[in-house]
Amino acid sequence: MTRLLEASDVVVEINGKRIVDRVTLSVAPGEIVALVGPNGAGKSTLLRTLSGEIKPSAGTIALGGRAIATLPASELAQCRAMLSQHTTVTFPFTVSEIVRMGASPWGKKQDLEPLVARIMASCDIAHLASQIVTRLSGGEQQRVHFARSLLQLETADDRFRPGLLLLDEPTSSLDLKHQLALLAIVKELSATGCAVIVVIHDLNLAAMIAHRLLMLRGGTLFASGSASEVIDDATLRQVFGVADATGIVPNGRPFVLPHSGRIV
Amino acid sequence: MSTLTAATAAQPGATRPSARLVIPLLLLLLLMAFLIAVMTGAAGIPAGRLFDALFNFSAADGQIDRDRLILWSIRLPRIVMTMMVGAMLAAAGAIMQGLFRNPLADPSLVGVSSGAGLAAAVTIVLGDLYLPMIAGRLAIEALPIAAFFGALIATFALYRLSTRDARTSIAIFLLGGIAIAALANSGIGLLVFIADDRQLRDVTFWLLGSLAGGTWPKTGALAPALLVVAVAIPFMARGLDLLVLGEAEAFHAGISVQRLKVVAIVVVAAATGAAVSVSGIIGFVGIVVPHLLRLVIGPAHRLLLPASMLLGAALLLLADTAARTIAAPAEVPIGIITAAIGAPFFLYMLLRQRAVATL
Repeated sequence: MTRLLEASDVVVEINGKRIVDRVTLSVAPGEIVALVGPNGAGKSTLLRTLSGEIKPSAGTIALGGRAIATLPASELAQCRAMLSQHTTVTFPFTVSEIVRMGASPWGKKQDLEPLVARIMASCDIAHLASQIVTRLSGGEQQRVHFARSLLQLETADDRFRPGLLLLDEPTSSLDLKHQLALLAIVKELSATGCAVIVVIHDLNLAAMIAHRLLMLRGGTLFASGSASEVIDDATLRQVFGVADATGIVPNGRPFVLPHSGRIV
Repeated sequence: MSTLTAATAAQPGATRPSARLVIPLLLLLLLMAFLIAVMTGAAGIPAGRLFDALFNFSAADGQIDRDRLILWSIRLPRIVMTMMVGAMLAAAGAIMQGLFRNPLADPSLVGVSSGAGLAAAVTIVLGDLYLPMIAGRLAIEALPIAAFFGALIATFALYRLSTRDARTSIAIFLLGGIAIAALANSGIGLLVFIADDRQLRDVTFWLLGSLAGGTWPKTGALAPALLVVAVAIPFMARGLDLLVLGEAEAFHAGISVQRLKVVAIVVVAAATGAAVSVSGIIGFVGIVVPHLLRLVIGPAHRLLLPASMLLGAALLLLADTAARTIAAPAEVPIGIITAAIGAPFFLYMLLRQRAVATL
């Protein structure tokens, strides 16, 4: 299978501290990869490095066969979109204005209206279009920025599509319904060939959506594989220091039940 | 989705109904301010004589000659220069606010104008020593260039001071600005101390801020800076919008952040430096104008920046017309008027801005 994103031996050091330690990974078009692991494992830093935002201290990252360090920002923005964990807006932009900021000015000229309307409806923010974004709840703001990153992918020039979507804790502020809705959109995207890398804390959501889980511990890749290969008692005990928290649902997928877990 | 119309696709700022009308309305306001300004003054020119005074160059009528002389050699250069200064100060404020993601940024508040003033004062007082060969043309050409570099150094220092790891600290930004202004002002004080009488008069002019010295050559010297600002706006608008979401977000959306910041700093310095070099330090235009406009048309820079230039030109022209008429034949320094309006406005914004109040 051809690889869309290939990172090898990536090291990130910030202020002399090694946050990401020789991580090698690759992602194929249409694949959903979840980055999981305890707080401070380097998940967000790794994601921001894969996006090109942080320059790695060592190692190489290639997107579509080209080193991302050599790509201009305008081209990189058409290959991948990124939803950051927190985005603060200082001026009174409306929801609709924020979403439209994602529209790529470099792609083919098209009528944005139907696209924007469809994306805003799918993210359940159409009714908020003329609201000031800073007055919305955290979850609503998260959906607005998610919609912005979707528009960015959809307005990229055709030679860069379907691209790569990087999501940092996209469900952290969402209620149950909107968590499921967002993950459904991610599934649909991957079906069109878009690759997705998602940092996610909830192991159950990760198991539900990802084709492959990468578990990080202390900046290194500790385990990698399908949900049933990665989520088991032995791994959770070593990585999170929690025992007896996993089970298997009838369809064979593992689940994590904090109720039964204990800290070891 | 019924609020989304075809017009909003072309213009991200146009989701507010007032946005499409704002440029024509501001042009109308500027025209009205212009007419008021040309007609009022120590020698009033009523509307009936205005057309002849402006355009009738062949008449051999004493009255028309006198009107024409007043208009073309005294009033018009001042009016044109005032509009250019107002446009540049407002644009510099709006761009700075976008760059620092802070609606309280203003070139005069955070030391950029003082930096330009210091460079201008250095040029006046020490220029005679070091630039003897161009001394005769000093005021017109060397001053805007020196002021530009003074503003550039101050803006750059402020940026380096307040921004760490792509985050701008509002507290350090405002306090650093105060420190830069204090440093520049102490330098100006030293230059006043060692200046001779003629130089002292020239330097004092910068300290007060005045548009009374408007001449056609000075207006011409401003034109390149105004052109730089106007040309740069369309290229900066999307980047400044995205920068409001943060440097990382702007980068993810395809903005070359480093280049954008350099361009924005140079444009702010060019606009502030040019304005300060002809008019001294006039405060608060850059903070009042963009804020008023954001309330009406929203913060999208594609519209905010040109609208700021128009409103800045109109408001400063009205303020200057008031400055030269309310105490006629004496003139109230324009800096007093803009500060009297702008400082309470700033305090009001500070109180509303809870994030800033808690720093």
